[in-house]
Amino acid sequence: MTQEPLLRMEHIGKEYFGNRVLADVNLTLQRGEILGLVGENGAGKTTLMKILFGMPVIKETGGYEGKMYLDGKEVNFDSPFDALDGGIGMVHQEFSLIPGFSTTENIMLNREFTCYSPLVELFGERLQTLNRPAMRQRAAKAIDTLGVRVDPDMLIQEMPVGHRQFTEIAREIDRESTKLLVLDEPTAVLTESEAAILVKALRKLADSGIAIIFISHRLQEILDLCDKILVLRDGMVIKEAPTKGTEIRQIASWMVGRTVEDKKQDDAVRVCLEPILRVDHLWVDMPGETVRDVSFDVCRGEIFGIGGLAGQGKLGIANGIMGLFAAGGAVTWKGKALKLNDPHGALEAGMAFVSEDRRGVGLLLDEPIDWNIAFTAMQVQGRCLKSLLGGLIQWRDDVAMASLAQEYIDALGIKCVSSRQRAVELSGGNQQKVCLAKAFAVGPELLFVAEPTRGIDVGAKKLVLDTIRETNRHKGTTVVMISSELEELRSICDRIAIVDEGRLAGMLSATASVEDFGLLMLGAGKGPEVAAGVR
Amino acid sequence: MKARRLVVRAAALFLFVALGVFLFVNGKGHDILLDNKTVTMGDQTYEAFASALISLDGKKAVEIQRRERLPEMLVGKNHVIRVEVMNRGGKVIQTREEKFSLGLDRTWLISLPMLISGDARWIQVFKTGEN
Amino acid sequence: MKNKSFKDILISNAVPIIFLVLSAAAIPLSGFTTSYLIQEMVTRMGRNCFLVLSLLIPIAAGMGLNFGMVLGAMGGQIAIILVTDWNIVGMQGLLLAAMISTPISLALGWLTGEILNRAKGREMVTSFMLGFFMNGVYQFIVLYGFGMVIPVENHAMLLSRGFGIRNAINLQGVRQVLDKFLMVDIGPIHVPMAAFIVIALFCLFILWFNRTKLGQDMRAVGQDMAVAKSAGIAVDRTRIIAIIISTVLAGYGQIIFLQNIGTMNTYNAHEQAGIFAIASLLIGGATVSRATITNVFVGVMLFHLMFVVSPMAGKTLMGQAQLGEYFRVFVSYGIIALALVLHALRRRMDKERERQSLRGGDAPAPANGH
Repeated sequence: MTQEPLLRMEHIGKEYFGNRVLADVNLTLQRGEILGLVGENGAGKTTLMKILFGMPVIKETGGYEGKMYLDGKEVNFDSPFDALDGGIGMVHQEFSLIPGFSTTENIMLNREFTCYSPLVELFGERLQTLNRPAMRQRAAKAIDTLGVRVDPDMLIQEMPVGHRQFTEIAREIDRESTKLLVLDEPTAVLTESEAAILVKALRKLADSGIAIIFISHRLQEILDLCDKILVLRDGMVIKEAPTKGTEIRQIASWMVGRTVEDKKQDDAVRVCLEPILRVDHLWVDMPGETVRDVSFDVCRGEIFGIGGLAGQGKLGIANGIMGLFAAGGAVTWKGKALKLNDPHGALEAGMAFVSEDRRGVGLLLDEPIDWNIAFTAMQVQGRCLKSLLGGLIQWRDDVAMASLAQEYIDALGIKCVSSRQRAVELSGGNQQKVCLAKAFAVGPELLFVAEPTRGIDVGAKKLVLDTIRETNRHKGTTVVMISSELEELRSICDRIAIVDEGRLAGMLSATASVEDFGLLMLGAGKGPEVAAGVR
Repeated sequence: MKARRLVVRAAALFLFVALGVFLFVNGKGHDILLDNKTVTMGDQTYEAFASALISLDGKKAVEIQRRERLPEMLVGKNHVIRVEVMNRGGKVIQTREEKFSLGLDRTWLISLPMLISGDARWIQVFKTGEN
Repeated sequence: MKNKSFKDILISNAVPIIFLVLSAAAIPLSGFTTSYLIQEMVTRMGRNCFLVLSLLIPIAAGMGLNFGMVLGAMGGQIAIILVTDWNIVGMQGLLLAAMISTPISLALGWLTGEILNRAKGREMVTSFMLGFFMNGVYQFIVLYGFGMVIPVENHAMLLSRGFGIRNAINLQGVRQVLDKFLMVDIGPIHVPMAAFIVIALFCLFILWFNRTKLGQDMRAVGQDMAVAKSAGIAVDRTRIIAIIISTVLAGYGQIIFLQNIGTMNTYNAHEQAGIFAIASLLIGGATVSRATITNVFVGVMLFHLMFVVSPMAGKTLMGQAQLGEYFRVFVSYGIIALALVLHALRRRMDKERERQSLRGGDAPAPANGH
């Protein structure tokens, strides 16, 4: 190698509270080179970029291992501002633009050109007036460099998403010192043609000598744009390869290629008798989990899985149907239309929901276990209530509540001192069981379970999954399970739908290969033949 | 650059305080009591005169009779008083113009007989009893 | 975007239109002559606009309708009490009062800013409560401090027990000093030109300020704090500066207001200042997040038209002037509530519109990898 690489990261590692998220990552990047960084959610891409960018969260959690060299000099950024000064620009997943400002104002944000005003001497630098013509010129130049057409005077809130993305990139490259540009999922919000323009613009930038790290789930873009590709899985570099001669399928299998640990226990093929729940063009406005257009059927008695990467909308589906977030479209429950945006109605219809937000929605943390378990049943079905005067006055039946709670404590093996213990004192796994018990107590025909194993340890995970399977097998409860962990879904579900960008990317039998699931999750599904079963 | 800024700011602060002091002194309203009574200072007695025209700072003159005490209001520190003593026939018999400056006290007493006679103690702070 | 429908214009100007209609109905009932009404409006504009203008900068910085100005008004009042006691009169007295109020309002503004930075997103209610709290401190200072710790020369201003300022004090030294400084008669109408020049200067200041780096930063902070912060703008500091500017100017505004009235209601004047200013601004069509100079003038005009006309209209209609008096209070609080409800409603409508794009039918087809 004749030239010192622009960026060299050596043996980078990082632990969060004893949880290893990155181990021994090595990376080199030349000037003008484009690196595609791929990996599943939680593979460590974001953490790696946070280390590079000097995000305070890294320092606050004990720093990182390994060394970084920029232009041959060792660097260790204390804050993102240091990284910016060092010549690293970053375009984040969410837009960091001011909606009511024009393109120019955003590109020049906090780097505005100013004219001297005598008041500066009295009240400080910020009383200089803005030099708008100069700013506009500078912004126009940055947009030009990108080779795209964006109106410098248009307000951000009035422009299409694609132009917003270009504005962000223009802002980063406008800094004179920028040598390295990190783009985290820049195309996620773009239409295909916009993405194509972006790819072209990035290529142009790279030709001018700026190195680019490009993070994307759209593998085709990676192949189109990047010079080389780095695959992360579970915090380790799985593969570093030039993009030439690499195929999407290969990348997908590198990304998700875990060994399958436990096979399904009962492989009896179950036939779909009749759809119990039919969802038509559902949309849900859940922040961070937007559902745009989803249609599917759930059969009576099956375990239906919904998977997909974080933030793609899989959680929104359950929250929308149960009425917790504003939703629209049509949901048919046992042949009758279900009223949306009505949590009580959904519960009364015989559905129950174990929320992913255990501590927020799922539990009354400061109340005892028996209250928690009996709460929904009491509210919706009037159980555990004593009536007086023909139901005019009702009050709690503590004895009935205690016995109901005890029944589930025994059945699910909830580890507690007594049924009067407060929920907040339980461990994560046991809290999850209380949530399940609360849902079971309603005796639902359909149970939504969202992220049931999130944040609980391995042993407890298995117990929770077993409980769900058992309820399905013995009580005939239809289950819709939503999880980010594909393996978990594959181990207990009959069919699995994959959600991508708020839409169904496809539906597969649980026995389909990991690779196929991987492709669907990454939005690279091939359409009709994979997506069979999607209406 | 930094030093200049410091100097400018210090100067501005100084100007601010200076302007405050200036306004305080220059805008202070004083109650003046013009007194035409016979006064005895030690062994000296100053006789009140029949009537006089008094003009403060060149404003329109007011007439004062024997044994009268007229209240007037003055704003600021330096002033001029012009007294024209008249005889019973209303003819000016004596004119005297004096410059004076007022301190920060609110109320001042000007004894016209003393002023005419040239006793330097003609203007004094007027103490009101605590009420 | 450009061809807004008539309905949209109607909705976004609902509040001023309602008030215009109400006033139009009440004017003939009140029986006032046109020249009397115009004179009243001119006087009241000169008296109140400055106070209301002081609200604009915090709104631009995203801090909503800010009762922090009540603290500024307190600063102005303490200054005017001191000046009256020292008997500094005329223009000098007025200027000195403004100068004394500056450091007091500055300190109070800084305090408000620090507190509001700890209550982001709940600025309005927090500053309202802070106003109540500081009212206690103000009363303590004025009721006990003056005459006990702060020497008072003019015993006529004190309560008979020897300390504490009387309920109402006479501001004869500075009464209408600014108004009379340059009184211009246009036909039968007396126009206090100096007051309007001061107000015009304030407007110019706001326009100029919007073009400074600090003004730009404030707008950025006002629209998206997180983004502004990530761009390296000192968000908290910027917000504090916005509040300080507002409080200091509110102090001046209160001094202008009081010199016009000529007497001071020692213990209530500042409370009314906050409520009336905010109500005026809202009646002018401003929202919690957006207010312009036009809103100020339209608002002060409509609010005070209502103010003048309603007691007489009440008397003609019901035979009781008291009713109009009730109406004023009802209106000023009611309008704040109404404007807040409308604001929430509009936000919900915007959200609903955004949701349209989520719906399957009219959204673009799913973008696959290739």
